[in-house]
Amino acid sequence: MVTKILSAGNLQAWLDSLVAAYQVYAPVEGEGASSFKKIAKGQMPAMDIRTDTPPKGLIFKQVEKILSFEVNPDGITVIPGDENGTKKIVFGIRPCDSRSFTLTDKPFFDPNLPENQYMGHRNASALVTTACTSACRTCFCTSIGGAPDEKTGDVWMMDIDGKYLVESLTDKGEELIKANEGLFSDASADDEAAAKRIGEEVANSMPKINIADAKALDALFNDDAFWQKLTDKCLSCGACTFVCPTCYCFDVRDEGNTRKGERYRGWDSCMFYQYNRAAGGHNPREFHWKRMRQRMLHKFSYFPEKYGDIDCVGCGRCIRSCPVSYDLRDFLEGSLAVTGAAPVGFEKELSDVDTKDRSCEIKPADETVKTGGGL
Amino acid sequence: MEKLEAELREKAKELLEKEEVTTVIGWGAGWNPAKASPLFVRDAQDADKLVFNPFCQNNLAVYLPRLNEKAAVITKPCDAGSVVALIAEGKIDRENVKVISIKCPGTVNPAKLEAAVGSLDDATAAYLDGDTIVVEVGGEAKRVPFAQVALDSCYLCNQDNVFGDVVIDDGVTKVTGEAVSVVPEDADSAWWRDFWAKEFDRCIRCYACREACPACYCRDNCAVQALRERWTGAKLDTKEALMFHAQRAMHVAGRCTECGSCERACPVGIPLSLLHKQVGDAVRKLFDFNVGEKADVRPPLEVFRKEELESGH
Ligand code: SF4
Ligand code: SF4
Ligand code: SF4
Ligand code: SF4
Ligand code: SF4
Repeated sequence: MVTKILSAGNLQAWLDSLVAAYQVYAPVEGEGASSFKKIAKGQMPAMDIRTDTPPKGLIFKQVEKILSFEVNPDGITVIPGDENGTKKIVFGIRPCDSRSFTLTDKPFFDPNLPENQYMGHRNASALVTTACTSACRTCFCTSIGGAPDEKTGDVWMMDIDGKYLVESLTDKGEELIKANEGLFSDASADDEAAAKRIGEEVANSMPKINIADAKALDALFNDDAFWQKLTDKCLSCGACTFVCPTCYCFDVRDEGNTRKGERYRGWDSCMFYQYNRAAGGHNPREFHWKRMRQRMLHKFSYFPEKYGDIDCVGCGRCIRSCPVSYDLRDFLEGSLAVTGAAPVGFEKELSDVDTKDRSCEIKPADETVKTGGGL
Repeated sequence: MEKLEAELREKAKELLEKEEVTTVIGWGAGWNPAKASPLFVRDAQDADKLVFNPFCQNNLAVYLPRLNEKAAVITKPCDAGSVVALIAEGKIDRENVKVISIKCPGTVNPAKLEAAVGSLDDATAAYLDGDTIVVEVGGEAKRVPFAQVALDSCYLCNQDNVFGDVVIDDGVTKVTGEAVSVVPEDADSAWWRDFWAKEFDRCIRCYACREACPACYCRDNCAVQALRERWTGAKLDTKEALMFHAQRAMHVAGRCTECGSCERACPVGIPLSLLHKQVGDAVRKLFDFNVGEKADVRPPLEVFRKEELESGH
């Protein structure tokens, strides 16, 4: 893999050459919110902003047709959705967002249950990661195993004093640099040392949150009072999960009629009341605190237990976008305080799982326990 | 302001100690000094965590239809209107709710403040100093006149007759100023069509607007998400977003107090207040009705009056 220097003046030329060959998406300021948008020749992305919405939807589309069907005299014709993604580059993506795709890959690239369309878009995309030269107050990537200068994606670059240190991390990334070799010059050991120093400085500027391990958190499952208190103010909307780069819940819906129609896959949110509602009206997560418990434990207990990594990248978007300023770090700190008191190495017995919270008792939707809010 | 906060905490403590309520819903400190966060106080000793300042944006009336316990809610005069509207609609049991109203100095519109001082994400302090809002970022204190960054609705807010079981009046002066509208005088339907097409193009359908709205209490039965009839399609496009918002605007017509809670909840900054003001203007004109004024009058679109038919409405 190669490590090069790109002068600030050559950034536009590199982008233009990429724009000529691929669809290039990059951070763009916008009315009301910043996001990743397709850029045109000559357009300089907003390299210094953290976008309000994540780049998630470029690969895990918010809504996507997964098949269409038609009943004809000979039977049913089913046409699968497009599994060959368009070649695209996600440019100027922060390390946390870049890391988020490596996490979502785990369930969607699962050989037992491959998500073909996600895989198609993912394989056709290259990520050009821009390391952070400062952190903001809601950033906590260093607490979940990431770093402001984490080398993730296909190309990694960092602004070191007005020029960029650029390193390819994969063959795909190397291609993007090699095709434009004339724009780059060689990097020196000093350049690499400078990048290392900046990365350490930024990481040191961020407060580190200690996070209880997956098993200890799972043991909190039955502590209703903990979840109720934590969730009191939550409105149970989907803002936090829709701006989250790692949330990957989806729903499938058919449109059309019994003879001809289309099937769509779209983002869903575990915070929605409807998310768990079953036929017949039973809802196992009928209260907002049970939905919050799902959101927190999925990220910090179930996912790490299954795949080894925490399913949160510490981008802080959920904190910034929440209409009631729910702060996920309160959960992390609060749960550590509670689980810290539990016996170390506590293993949950299977019988513990089968208690009232997972029972099939049907309660009317508007009935609430005394100490918990309603929906 | 300190005196007001002290009175508020005292009152909350008293209600909890006397067991008149099991929770007092107010505001506490948020992760960011320019964002207070709703706080449910259940222990009298936690009452001291209650705060009140121009960053207490949330309309706490939103929680009332969701609770089945005796609760006290702290309201700004505009939020008190939402409580009145909910009582008028029969959505909350008057017996179970204690309303602590505050005569308030006005509330900051975060979008205006950000336009004036830049991102609030890294603010280390934010407060009202006389008639100036001060935001400290990176050791630098940025000052902007409160009159320039308050919510538009605050300029029009009349606090003479505030609804509440307790009204805390600390003699604070309310902010005055002029609303600056992005809507041109001669905006016609084509202008509005283009405007909303542009704005709703970025709606991510997260439903934060709906969940933050005291008038949107349908929960599982919300027309756009109910599992039975679906009134919006699966596709994510401007047309479907418009359908959702037009539907919501009509459903809250005559019940919406124009509190702006929906707009402040939106993570992508869609100016929903403009939509609800348009609908509100129509309700005022057609029915001569002000939402949130009387607790014993049902909203106009909920009742059928023969005269309306005869007058051609
Ligand atoms: S959490 Fe913040 S500092 Fe860390 S990678 Fe993301 S944007 Fe950069
Ligand atoms: S935590 Fe905030 S953003 Fe998430 S569902 Fe609750 S209110 Fe909505
Ligand atoms: S849970 Fe919050 S901080 Fe973590 S990745 Fe999602 S939006 Fe970012
Ligand atoms: S629609 Fe918006 S402005 Fe109207 S009551 Fe609901 S939250 Fe308030
Ligand atoms: S809060 Fe904003 S983005 Fe979310 S559904 Fe409402 S208008 Fe759309």
